[in-house]
Amino acid sequence: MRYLINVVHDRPLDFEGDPTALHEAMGAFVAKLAADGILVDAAGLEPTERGARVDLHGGKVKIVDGPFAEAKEWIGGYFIVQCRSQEEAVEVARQSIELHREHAPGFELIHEVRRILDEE
Amino acid sequence: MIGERTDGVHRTVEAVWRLESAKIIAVLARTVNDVGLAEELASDAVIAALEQWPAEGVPDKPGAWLMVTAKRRAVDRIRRDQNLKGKYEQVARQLEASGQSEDPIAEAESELDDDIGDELLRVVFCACHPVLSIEARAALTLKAAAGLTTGEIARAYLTSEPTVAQRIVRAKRKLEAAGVTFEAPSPAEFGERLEAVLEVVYLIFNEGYTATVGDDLMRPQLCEDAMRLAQRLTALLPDQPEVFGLAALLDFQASRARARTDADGEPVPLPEQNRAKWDRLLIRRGLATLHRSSAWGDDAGPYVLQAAIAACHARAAGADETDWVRIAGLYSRLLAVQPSPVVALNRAVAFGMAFGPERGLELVDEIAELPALKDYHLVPAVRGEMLERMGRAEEARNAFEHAAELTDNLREKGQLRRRAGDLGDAV
Repeated sequence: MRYLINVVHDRPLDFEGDPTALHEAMGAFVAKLAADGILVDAAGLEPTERGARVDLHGGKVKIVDGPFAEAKEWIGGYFIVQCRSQEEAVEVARQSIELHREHAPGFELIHEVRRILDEE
Repeated sequence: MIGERTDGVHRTVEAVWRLESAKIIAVLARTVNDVGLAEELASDAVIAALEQWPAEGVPDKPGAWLMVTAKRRAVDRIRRDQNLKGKYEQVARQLEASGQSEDPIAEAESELDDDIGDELLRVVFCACHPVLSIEARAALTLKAAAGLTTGEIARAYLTSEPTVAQRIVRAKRKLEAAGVTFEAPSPAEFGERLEAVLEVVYLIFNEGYTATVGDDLMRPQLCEDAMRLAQRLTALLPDQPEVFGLAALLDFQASRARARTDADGEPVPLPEQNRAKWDRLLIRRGLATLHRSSAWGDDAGPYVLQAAIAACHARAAGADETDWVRIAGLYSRLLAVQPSPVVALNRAVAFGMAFGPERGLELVDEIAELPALKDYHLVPAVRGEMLERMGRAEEARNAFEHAAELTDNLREKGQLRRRAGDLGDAV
């Protein structure tokens, strides 16, 4: 089974401390996931200011460039992991969150764990 | 032991076990110098977790908790068991000392984070030791290196839990009797032993892959377990191209899982598969993994070559864009390092696709009389295919009919008869 772990932000990316410590810890974490054979894919995303949205609302197509003022949440990156159970994917997400707590005190973020549909 | 009940904490214990057990076992095996004993000690810690976590909650560092607990239980067990006492008293004292350190959890955490690649490898090499039967190797590898419980292994192999438990106990005894407790292969035997490890991983994958029918979800899981083992081996043996070859091959094969049977469960040959159903993520990881098997010299081994062939298919946007010339060349190299009648037949097919049916037919006829292929239905089936493309309908029909007679698989028989029938109309 594969799970998408979305790194979701719902507030500004402010935290105390040195961002390089967090980056290094997360780099090592991703390398560990790969070495353990769990990782299928992982990437960070550019800020929403450089993104765009193509909306379909009320039958109308609208293209909006970032940043998206009204957005309450945005995605900063993702992992795709191969796990035997949802609990295992949650544990992977928890470990990542723990690293954030340790290396970036004050940083608030969400890891959303979603199973990738497997139509057989 | 665990696996039947499905409450939340239970599943969390299993999840942590799956993520951390191989490392816990590796660290313990280094301490007691015995993989079998280490695996038992680690299992003791899981039992403790099942007892304590529901009441006390899941600890902050569950992996380190298991490690610390395994050490404590090891001390108890060594002190209690007269057989172990003499041999391991020194170990018990050492474990006790580390348990009394200022912050045992932090110590355990750093032990698990340390580079324990050598220890992990030793565990795998012991589990795949040639003194063991192939079933025992697979079971022990899944238990000690892939974090499966006995119950999970039993379900994956459609057998009972006691059978698997017994298989593992016997395997450990056999290793002990052979004096293989925690050894690394000597440089002289390394190549052969690595081959044995890769074979076990490939067999685990195929056990899951060939079982296409049924709604048992454990079987495809087995493929994922094998893929995970293969990926882990690439991290442990970064200078062994065949390990990358195997990992890539598994990714490519798994990438086609959804396309290889049709709605009725009939197998769909590769050229006719709906490529939109191929898993692009696995193909991408497979290509990246294959790329890292840097040894692209003349000495590429069978897994690298098979993965390279699979990569040609994976890269082609459509069946008619397949680089058959390259595939034909790769099959020639594969035949040289792994001479087998089936490889020879596949090579004939590839040559037929690359250089025309005349060339393909020539190669099929060269091998058709080999004892191993004499009654193999795919030989006349391939002949029929080549003859049909050459416009020799009558001979093609005879070949398909002959092929239909040789196979006991009713579906294939039907398909071959249909092809023969279609040609009959044309004559």
